[in-house]
Amino acid sequence: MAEELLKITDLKVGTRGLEIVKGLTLSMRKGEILGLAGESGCGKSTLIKSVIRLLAPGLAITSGSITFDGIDLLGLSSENARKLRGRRLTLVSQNAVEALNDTRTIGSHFLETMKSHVKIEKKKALREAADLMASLDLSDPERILASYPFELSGGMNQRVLIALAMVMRPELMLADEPTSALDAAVQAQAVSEMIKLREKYGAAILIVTHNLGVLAHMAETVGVMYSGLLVEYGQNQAVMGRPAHPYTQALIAAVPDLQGQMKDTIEGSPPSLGEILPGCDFSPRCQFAQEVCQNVKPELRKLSPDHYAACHLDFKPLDS
Amino acid sequence: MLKYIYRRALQLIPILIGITIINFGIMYLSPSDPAERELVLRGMMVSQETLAAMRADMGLDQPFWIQYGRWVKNLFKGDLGTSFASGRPVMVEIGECLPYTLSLAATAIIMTMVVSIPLGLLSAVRQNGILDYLIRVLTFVGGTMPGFLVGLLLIYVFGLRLKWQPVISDGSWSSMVLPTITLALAMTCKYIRQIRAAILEELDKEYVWGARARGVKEKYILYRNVLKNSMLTIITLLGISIGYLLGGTAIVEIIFTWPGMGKLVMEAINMRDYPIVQGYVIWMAVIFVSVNLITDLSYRLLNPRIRLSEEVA
Ligand SMILES: Nc1ncnc2c1ncn2[C@@H]1O[C@H](COP(=O)(O)OP(=O)(O)OP(=O)(O)O)[C@@H](O)[C@H]1O
Ligand SMILES: [Mg+2]
Repeated sequence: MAEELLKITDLKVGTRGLEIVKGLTLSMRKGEILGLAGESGCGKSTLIKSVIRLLAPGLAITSGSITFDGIDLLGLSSENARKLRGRRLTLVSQNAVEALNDTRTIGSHFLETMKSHVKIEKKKALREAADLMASLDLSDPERILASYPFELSGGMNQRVLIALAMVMRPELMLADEPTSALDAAVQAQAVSEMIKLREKYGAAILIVTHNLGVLAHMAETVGVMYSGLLVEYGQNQAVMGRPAHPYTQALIAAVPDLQGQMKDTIEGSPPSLGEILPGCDFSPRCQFAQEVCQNVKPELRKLSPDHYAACHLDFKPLDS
Repeated sequence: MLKYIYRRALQLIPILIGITIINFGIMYLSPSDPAERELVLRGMMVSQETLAAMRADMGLDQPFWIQYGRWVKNLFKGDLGTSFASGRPVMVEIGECLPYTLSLAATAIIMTMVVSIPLGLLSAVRQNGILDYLIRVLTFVGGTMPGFLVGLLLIYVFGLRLKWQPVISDGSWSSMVLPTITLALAMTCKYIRQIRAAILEELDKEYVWGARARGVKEKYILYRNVLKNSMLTIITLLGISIGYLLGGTAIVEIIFTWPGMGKLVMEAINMRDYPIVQGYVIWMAVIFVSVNLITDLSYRLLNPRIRLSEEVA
């Protein structure tokens, strides 16, 4: 087994005593591409922001640990956390146009990022930025560097943002729905850009997406989150091909077909913030729920060497 | 950029024509008769005949437009007529007051900026901290105190009690201290609050989080991004303040007997000295037009979105 890069253990994140992430455990290897899916509000962004130590003011980590390449991330001073961010781990967010400052050129964004981490002269920094963009197949990097964000298309901004995040060659990129705002063709370009990051620079990628197609295409490992916890986790083919948890099955069934019609949306809604169920959080919506599901919280169980699910039912994984 | 300035200058022509017509019109309709004044001034007898002769002599019997044309021509030559009160050219009177107004405006603006930008920034960065709270309370109190009260208090404390400052100013540098503080205090309080609000709004934008996610140093985020983007707000404030200050600040100038434009025009109004008032109105028009132009140009420099769209068009 390859070396472990990121380890999240029993992480709990909350706001005013209400738990958003409820004791999540997850690990990533160096260079691994891990895809996370789950309904809106299940805590994906909160999880990612905890890792990068940029939680919104009202949110706080209440217990658990996060280690990155042996470093205890939660124990770092804020200045040391800053030094790590961008240099060894980085974040790409969904809305690229807003994540860039409209009054400064793309080149200045690269410059200030690089200068925050290393001593480098302007010319050399810009040349490095241009080289990086060229290696990621962005055409005419010099023109891009001289442009303002509003002069570029949304898709181009997103690709620039991905390149920008990679400028210090971090080992881990956290991508929070990096393609959601893009149309299909541009989405494909952004995805192939991220795959290239891994091939050329060996970066591990934790990607959150609602697009199971993107997930199936680029992730090696897939995690499904529900109500602040992982409910299923494992190798891409195992989870996507033989989903074991009823929620995963419903999620996959809900993928829109080619006409964009949702085939089967999941009835009901997850427990609201602060609502505590004694049993499985999915049980009220689960068509297979039994008594035990309402009373006992299921733990992640090993189904096969590369496949885990948190469900009491002994389902034969569904073939699809 | 040059094309833009040129176009803006063209737009000014109708505005200036409007201002001069109104300005001349007020003079034209005013109850005082310049011919009569002229006769009195020269010590001649006022009668129907002498008045008519003097009117013809001064061109006052000609139609409105011809008189207006002559007035504008003189205006371009820098001749705004003579003051009724002193008999001296209006230009000379204004020219004597202007340096006082300019210097007081400059010191008040500089003091305001020097104090309010760092404090506004500090207050925003330490949002809801003790320092922020203190600054907010003080600026609230300071902002509600009327200027004349501040001025009188300062005179009482520093002039009468401590005797650090002259009570009646002599136009020297040191006598500028109290009027400057009086003017700057209210402005500073207003500026701090507005700068704080602008910076907080800017700090909340997503690009700030984006930059933090890349580990960009907080000082770069603050000075090169947030403060720079907040400059638009600051410049808008500045434009308004500069316009207001260059008009002369009547109350402060009168309290401190500071011989600036505000004092000049207040006295002119009291004595119905129309040429001076007229000159003052022209001066105000010049200020507002140029302050507007400069504000617009700085927007353009600071906001590439406006600048570039203009270049393409
Ligand atoms: N700053 C905050 N203060 C209080 N509650 C918050 C805050 N941010 C998020 N939450 C709550 O935490 C929960 C999880 O939010 P999060 O953004 O992590 O979800 P998500 O899985 O990323 O959803 P989406 O797919 O819509 O992005 C939500 O119920 C949300 O209301
Ligand atoms: Mg999210």
